[in-house]
Amino acid sequence: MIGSPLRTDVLFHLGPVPISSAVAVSWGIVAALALGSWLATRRLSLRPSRTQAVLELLVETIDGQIRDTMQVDPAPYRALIGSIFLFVLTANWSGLVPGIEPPTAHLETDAALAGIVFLATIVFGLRSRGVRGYLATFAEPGWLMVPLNLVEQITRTFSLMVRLFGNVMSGVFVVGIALSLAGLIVPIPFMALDLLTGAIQAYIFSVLAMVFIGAAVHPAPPSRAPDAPASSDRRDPS
Amino acid sequence: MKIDFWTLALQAINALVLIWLLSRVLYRPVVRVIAQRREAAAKLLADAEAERDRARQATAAATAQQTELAAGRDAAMKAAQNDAEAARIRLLAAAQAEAGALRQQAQAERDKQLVAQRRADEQRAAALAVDIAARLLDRLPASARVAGFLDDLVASLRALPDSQRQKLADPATPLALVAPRTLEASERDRCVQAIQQAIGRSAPLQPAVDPNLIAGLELRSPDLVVSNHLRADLDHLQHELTHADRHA
Repeated sequence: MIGSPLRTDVLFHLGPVPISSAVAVSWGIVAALALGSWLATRRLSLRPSRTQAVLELLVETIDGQIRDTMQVDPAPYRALIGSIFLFVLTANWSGLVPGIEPPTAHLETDAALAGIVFLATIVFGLRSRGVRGYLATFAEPGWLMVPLNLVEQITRTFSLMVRLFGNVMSGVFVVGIALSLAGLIVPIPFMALDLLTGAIQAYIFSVLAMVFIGAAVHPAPPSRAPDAPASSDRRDPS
Repeated sequence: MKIDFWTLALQAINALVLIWLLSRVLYRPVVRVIAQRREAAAKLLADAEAERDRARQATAAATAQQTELAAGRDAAMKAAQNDAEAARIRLLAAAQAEAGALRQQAQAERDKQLVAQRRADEQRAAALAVDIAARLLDRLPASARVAGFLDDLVASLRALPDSQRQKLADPATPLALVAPRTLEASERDRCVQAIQQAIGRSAPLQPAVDPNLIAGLELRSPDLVVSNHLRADLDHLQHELTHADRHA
């Protein structure tokens, strides 16, 4: 990437709709993930192959992360959290393919993902608590906190978007600058670092999404005395 | 800074489509097969638990059967021991009875041998006595072997009851005068005369010889024998000795 990261490169138009490179790469990622998943899950059996074992390990890990972070049954959130993680990870690592810019290095992609998390927070909060209960969370711990809680909803979504965008975009820039300055060998450590950064950012984005949704589906633990037993008041959103 | 809302909307749609697609082709199948495996494992565990319960029951049954067999074995062993003890007692009683019979038989045999030995001893003693008597008599004159016994014979005849003496005096009763050797005529006449006077008989006496008498005389009739000879004395002595030993 040698152009401005804030500029959208339109490849072609579908009628009035401009198709940018980020959208095209995202289509490829969606197609690759969907086709790969379909091919990998065609012949599942009770005696798993290596591929099936990897898939089961992936799903079990996602479920474990949801269970540990949100303290709820992972089934309703598995598709959202797991898909966001796989998409962000694949998008971040797609920059290693020559000629392809990571979609997450464009602000629109990160904004779309952050917006989905924002909407999911509202939807799961409403499903878990109801309208009154969900709205009541904005008044916690008191009515004076309503404006701050409303602003927090926006700012944390914005920070989610900007964090991912900044990290991926900077990595792409570093690799591009290294490529332009030192040829072929020097950028390899930066590309490896970009791999690590991409994985960490995908994990952070997914964990923050779980934290936001988890905070919406069950209340924060009540304040208690230091020697009081821990509260087990958790709600199952399903 | 400019945000392309078309791109934003399309990326949001892409993300939602990806979520929908992966939930269909990735998460559901994998979660389903995991659940099936868990069910299979749970069923396997349940089957194993049931099998273990059956094994426990079989073990308990085997233990009970083993206990029953042990009790039966002990009972059979006890019965066998009782039978063996009864057989031992029976065999011991039979052996004791047989030993008693053998002992009695041996005792009878020994008594028989003792009797035979005693008889043989008596015979040898009698023979020895006869031999001794014969040797002693050999030192006497031959006439003394007869004449010395005549007086006692006459005395015995006179001591007889009258009825027996009259019967002997009857001429129809045959009388034999037995001597250990052939008497000379004078000896015979003197003996016959003395006897006839003792019993009042006039009829003659039939002389006879019996060396077994050793010394002395004997008067024989069909109904009565009057003896005064050494053989009779020895027989009497032997009878007395034998009788005395048995009574002792």
